Amino acid sequence: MKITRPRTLAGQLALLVALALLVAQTVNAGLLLKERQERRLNTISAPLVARIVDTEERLREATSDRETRHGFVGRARVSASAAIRPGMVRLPKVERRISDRLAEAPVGISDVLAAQVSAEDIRAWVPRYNPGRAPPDQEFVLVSAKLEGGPWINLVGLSPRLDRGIASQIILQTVVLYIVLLLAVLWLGRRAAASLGRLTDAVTSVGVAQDAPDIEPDGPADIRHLTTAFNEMRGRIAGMLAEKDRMIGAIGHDLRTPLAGLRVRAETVANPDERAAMIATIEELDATLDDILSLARLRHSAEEIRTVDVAALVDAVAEDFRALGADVTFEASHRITARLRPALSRRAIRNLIDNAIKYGARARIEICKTDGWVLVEISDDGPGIAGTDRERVFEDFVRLEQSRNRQTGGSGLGLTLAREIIRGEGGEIELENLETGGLQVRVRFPADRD
Amino acid sequence: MTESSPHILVVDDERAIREPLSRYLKENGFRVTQSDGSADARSKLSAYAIDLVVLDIMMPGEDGLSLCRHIRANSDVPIILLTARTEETERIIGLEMGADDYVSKPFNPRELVARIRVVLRRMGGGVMRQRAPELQSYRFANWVLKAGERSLVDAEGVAVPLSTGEYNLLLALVTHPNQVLSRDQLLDLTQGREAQAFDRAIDNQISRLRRKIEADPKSPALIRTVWGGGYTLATDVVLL
Repeated sequence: MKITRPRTLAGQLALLVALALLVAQTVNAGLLLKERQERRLNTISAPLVARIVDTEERLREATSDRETRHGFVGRARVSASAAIRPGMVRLPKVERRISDRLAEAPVGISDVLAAQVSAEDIRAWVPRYNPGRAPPDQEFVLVSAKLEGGPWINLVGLSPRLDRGIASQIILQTVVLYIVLLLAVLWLGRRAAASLGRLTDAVTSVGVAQDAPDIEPDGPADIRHLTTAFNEMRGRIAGMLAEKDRMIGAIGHDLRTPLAGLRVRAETVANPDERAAMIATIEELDATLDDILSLARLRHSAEEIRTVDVAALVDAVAEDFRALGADVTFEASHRITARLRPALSRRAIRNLIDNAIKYGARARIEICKTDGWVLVEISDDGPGIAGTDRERVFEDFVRLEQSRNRQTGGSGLGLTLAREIIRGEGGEIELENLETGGLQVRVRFPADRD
Repeated sequence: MTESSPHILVVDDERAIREPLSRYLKENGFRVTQSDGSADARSKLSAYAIDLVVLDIMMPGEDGLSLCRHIRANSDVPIILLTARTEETERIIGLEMGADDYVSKPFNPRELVARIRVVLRRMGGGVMRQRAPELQSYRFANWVLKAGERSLVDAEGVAVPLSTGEYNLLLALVTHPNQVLSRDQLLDLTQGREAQAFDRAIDNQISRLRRKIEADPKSPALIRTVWGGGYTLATDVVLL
């Protein structure tokens, strides 16, 4: 399994807090364990040191060999060699601690050995040793201390068992901390993320839904400030967009008026060829103006979305072109419906068929319904479009003049407008060169659920 | 030009349109008076016997819509509006205020002359003034033709787009239900704003329309053929 880094705010916060907590708890546990070990060392060594000092005293004060007859002084055994045999588990820390303590005492000890032994070991060594009430698994410490220039003193002490409770205590503490902290962090993260999410939605919708209400500032103060700032920015953008619309409207009016005057004057031109050329130019200018205005106003079209028979729509546009003498084939189809804005969609289809006729001599159109999409395919007999240009033709005012005759005219906005409209209906448009030559434009709209 | 030729008042603040348009209308046999604004137009309307007003909607000062309302409140003189295509709503408002027709700038002057003649003929025929057909919705059989939106909607609310030719023909039929219309009459009635409508044979348009609106296009029940006569819309039409 691959572990991926969390991407959300809440996830990253939680991960960071968890890691920091882990480090802190590790250090904490280390300190605690060290302190416990220290205490355990003292618990083991302090009585042993006292007893060694005591034994040494009694040895010194012993007046006869009788008192040390069996090699025992009290519960210590005095011998010429150390009781600790090789192979026993040595306890270097205990040895060091006892040596240190003995060095402060008024006794001359040249060497200290310590080993971990079991009750069995002790019985083998001291047959009459009675472990008393010690539990059967009690462990003992055997210590041998060599008196300077004298015998070894051998002693047995209790070895307190390792406190396993401490480990589980630390783990429990860590788990509780984790749960409490992580819950808090996740809650905070979620809250911040929710505010950010609303903001993201609102930012996404700028320009789409112009009159969306302001977002209610919510969540941590930083995010509330951001929300407020965003609301203000949206207000400014809305103002700019409104200004743009007003300006475009004014431009439209200001250009149409002289154009209308020209159009009337053109009628009075005596030379019929001249007149036709003038009228064509004026109509061309008007069409370009219309494309510009439509594109600029597309985002807030007032047209209603309704269920439309797309087959009839394509058929109607094809028929309009046929009436003008264009070569357009479309096999009338049964009803295929989609939810869209009919006048805008009609315009998009009209632009595409117009392109096919202009650049590809004729348009062959097919329509079908597949996988929830209404597919309209418009093919022509033209030169097609090179792969690198296929995205570029959708840009504003782009015309591929190398391969196309300047006289074909047009604003270069036709495809841009068509794609904007089609995308606005939730559809998509693709271009592809046909193997037989010619270009195929594929348009899809989301089909109506029926 | 004679005293009996119709007298047109052209109201537009733009000289660039007003003057060539006036000249063009004169050449086409109309008497023309020009006016550069609403106030001037009011005085000329009371001074002369005007037969028709060609009125620009967008004018500084009192605009065309306001003048349109004023004229309609005081007289029956027909009004044709000059609009910019981007001012859809104003066009509709203008028609609702009693304008009889409109053309979008930059308009084809020949089309404007044709519309002036149609409107004058309609008025001369003593027909009662009615709302512009453009604003109506017509219900017939299982269909509603919304003229303003140029859409045909079926009982389930599905819009069936029509070609320009089909639309003009259907509009002619629904405005003359249960009347036999000859091909010539239909041609005349469908001479709408788009030139392409002229080019298609009426018969062809009829069969296309039948495919769209008839339950069985092979035995049409709505658009009936009258032998030797023409066609008739054989159903009642309700204005909505």
